[in-house]
Amino acid sequence: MITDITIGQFFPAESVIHRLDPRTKILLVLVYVVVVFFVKSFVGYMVLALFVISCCAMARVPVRFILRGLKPIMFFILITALFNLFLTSGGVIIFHWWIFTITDEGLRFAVFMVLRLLFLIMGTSLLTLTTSPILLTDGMERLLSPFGKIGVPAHEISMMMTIALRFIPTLLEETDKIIKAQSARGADFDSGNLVRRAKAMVPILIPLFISSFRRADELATAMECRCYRGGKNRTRLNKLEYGRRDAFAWLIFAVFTAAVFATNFLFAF
Amino acid sequence: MLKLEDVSYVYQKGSPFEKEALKNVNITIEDGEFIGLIGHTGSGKSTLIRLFNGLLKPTSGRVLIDGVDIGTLKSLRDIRFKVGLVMQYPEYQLFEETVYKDISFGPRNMGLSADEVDRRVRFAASMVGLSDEALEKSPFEMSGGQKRRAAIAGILAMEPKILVLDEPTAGLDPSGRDEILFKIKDMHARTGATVVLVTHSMEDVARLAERIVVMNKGALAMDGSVREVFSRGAELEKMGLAVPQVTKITDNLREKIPSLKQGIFTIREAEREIVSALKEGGVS
Amino acid sequence: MGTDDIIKIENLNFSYSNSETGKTTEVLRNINLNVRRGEFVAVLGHNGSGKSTLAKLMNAILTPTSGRVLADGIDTADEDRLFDIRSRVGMVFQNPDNQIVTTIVEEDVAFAPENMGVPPAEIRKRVDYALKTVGMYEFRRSEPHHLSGGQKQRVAIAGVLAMMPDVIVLDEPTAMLDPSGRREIINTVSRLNREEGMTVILITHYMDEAVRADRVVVISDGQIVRDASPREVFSQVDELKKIGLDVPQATELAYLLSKDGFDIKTDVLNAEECTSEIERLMTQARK
Repeated sequence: MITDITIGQFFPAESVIHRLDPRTKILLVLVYVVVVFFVKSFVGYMVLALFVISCCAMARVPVRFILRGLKPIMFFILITALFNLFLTSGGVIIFHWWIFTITDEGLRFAVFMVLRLLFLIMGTSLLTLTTSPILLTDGMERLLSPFGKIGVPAHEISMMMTIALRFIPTLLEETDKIIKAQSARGADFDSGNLVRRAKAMVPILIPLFISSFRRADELATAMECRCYRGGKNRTRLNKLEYGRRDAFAWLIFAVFTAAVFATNFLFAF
Repeated sequence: MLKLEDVSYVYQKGSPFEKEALKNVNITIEDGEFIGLIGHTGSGKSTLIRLFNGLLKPTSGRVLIDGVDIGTLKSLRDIRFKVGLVMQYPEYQLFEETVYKDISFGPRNMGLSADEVDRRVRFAASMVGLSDEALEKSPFEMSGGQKRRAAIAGILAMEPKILVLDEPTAGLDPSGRDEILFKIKDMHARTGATVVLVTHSMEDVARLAERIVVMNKGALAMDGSVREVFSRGAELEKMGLAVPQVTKITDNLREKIPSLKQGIFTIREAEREIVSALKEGGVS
Repeated sequence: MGTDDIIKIENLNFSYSNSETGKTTEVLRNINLNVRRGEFVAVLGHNGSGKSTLAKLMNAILTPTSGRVLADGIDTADEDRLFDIRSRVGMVFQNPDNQIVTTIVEEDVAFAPENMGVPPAEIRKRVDYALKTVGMYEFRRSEPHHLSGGQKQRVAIAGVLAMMPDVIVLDEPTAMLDPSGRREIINTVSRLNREEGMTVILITHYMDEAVRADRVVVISDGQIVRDASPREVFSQVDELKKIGLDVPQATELAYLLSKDGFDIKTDVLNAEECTSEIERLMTQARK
């Protein structure tokens, strides 16, 4: 189900992690992604697991909530694992049947790949789960604004994301209404071959496009009426400010990173 | 005949957002009736009409059309053609290059012959007052009122036995509203189809319907003739529904003129009643 | 600075030409209209009468083909003062969904002052004031798509209020709402006018909303055909019906009774006034 996806969903709660500056969280997640790729041992993954789970606990996001969100992408993770399992050569053969060969190296790669993907997704979803969309776009805008000089439209990107987030529920509802309206005229979306089914989408897509354009047009006028003129001279209701907790977050993260790298040297397994 | 037996409907059952939209509703709608369905937003009336043509399936209870429980049917498409549903702001469903093609979408889905489709499109267009010239236009070049009529014709062209209209006059100005209502009444008279008109406007219901069904908090609150329902003005107001202004005036006057009829709902009737009371002059 | 007339429209004509056919369509003709500070004016007209175009001319979304529009003394054709005009003349549109920009109510209300470069502390004050004024303060952290139509429209009004405008123009703000949503908006608007002294221009085709105004301007086919108090305007039952508008049932009933030869005032506007007029007739008849 589409509603099971937790990536990009906000989990409102009061926690230290929620209160961290979005810029801190975005940057930390970026570094985290890099760190995950450097983990080379099972002990390293245990450190990673400990870190992610304690972050969840601090954020008051139930771990099973994140795990449930993994379900829709489990399929891809499994496929990746299988590829690694059967296509890695080298190492000692531990299983062989017909054209399938599994080596200990392959097994190790496959397990690592699964773990790596799991931790990547868990870590990044923690960002979106603990940061409201508006703060997330705000943070991105601030982080990108120094690049404005080389032509990165930071304000426009964040405005676009805000409007997209604002209109997703509206357009989902509208799509549902149009589907119902066309079904009431006997439209059939579920039978026939691929071409027929694609054609059956036309009565949904055209009204949806037309309505989206109309909305965009009206929204543009309404924004003009409210003195919108791009990012120039714009102030913000909520200013982002780094606090002591942001410094702490970096500190803790540094310790964690050091721990991960240490495991690479100390443990071969 | 459309019959709902003990129908309940729960949205997102089993989730934290579970919401009971309808509880134990029983209604029988006979062929050829003109029914006004009223209730404020959230009263369950929109859920109710989506059950009529199988867009939603009841959580419990049965929906019977001409004696057949539609829950037992394999395909609901035939039901969709039998019970035509005009949704709110139906002009948002227009998608074809010409009005003609758009109106023919329903009949084509029914698998009718080209001649029969043509006959139905032209009949439906004439019913809502669209000229042959208008049929060749793009629906997106038309005025709001015309678009609305084209969209209604798209349902009429399926020649449903039961026509359900969800606020067909929403957003229209008074003359646009009068025109649509007049066409619906005319269609009812000419084809004898059953009509269920969902509306917020008591004045519209008063002018057109024979029977009123009032929904409140997911349950059937009242079901009776227009006069019966409007004579319960105080109860309606408690549900957040207003009676027509003339009903209110005549209700107010009844203290002074006890002979005044209950549940007066048209201006002409109010005028007649008041004039005769005034002419009798104080004989009360 | 500021003049007594917040909106001044002089000899305005507006037409547009279709770029494909080259045909020119005249939308508004010879409009003269002044709106005083603190006034509540309803502009009544059927669809296509030109009333929405008139609204857009008031804050320089459109500019006149000829004649001029002054908003707080500023000519709307003066492109350098566009933002002065827009922040003085706030505009609320029909569809609340299409004017809410962000995903949290208070962020949306802050949108206009943010654009105007208002300092954050002052924005906070304005947002709280605006949300309290429309009665949506407790929903400040809500997401717009969880609100009802009437609530969303009140947020849209708050979003305009936060600009601290001199006048609010509402272009059919209730056309897409149910009766309770309509009541919410009309009550909010009349309270804004009465208690906050806000100048209000309400564009509508619902006569029962126009009844609440100080003054009703009727537009038909691009021209002003009436400009008077609601009582005067609505007592002209035949004239209004001819141009495709409604009158309140109470007014129509009084009008019919007077045509029947009874000595009844025809400028009644609501059920109570009509009832007491008929009761007066009744007591007379009994004598």
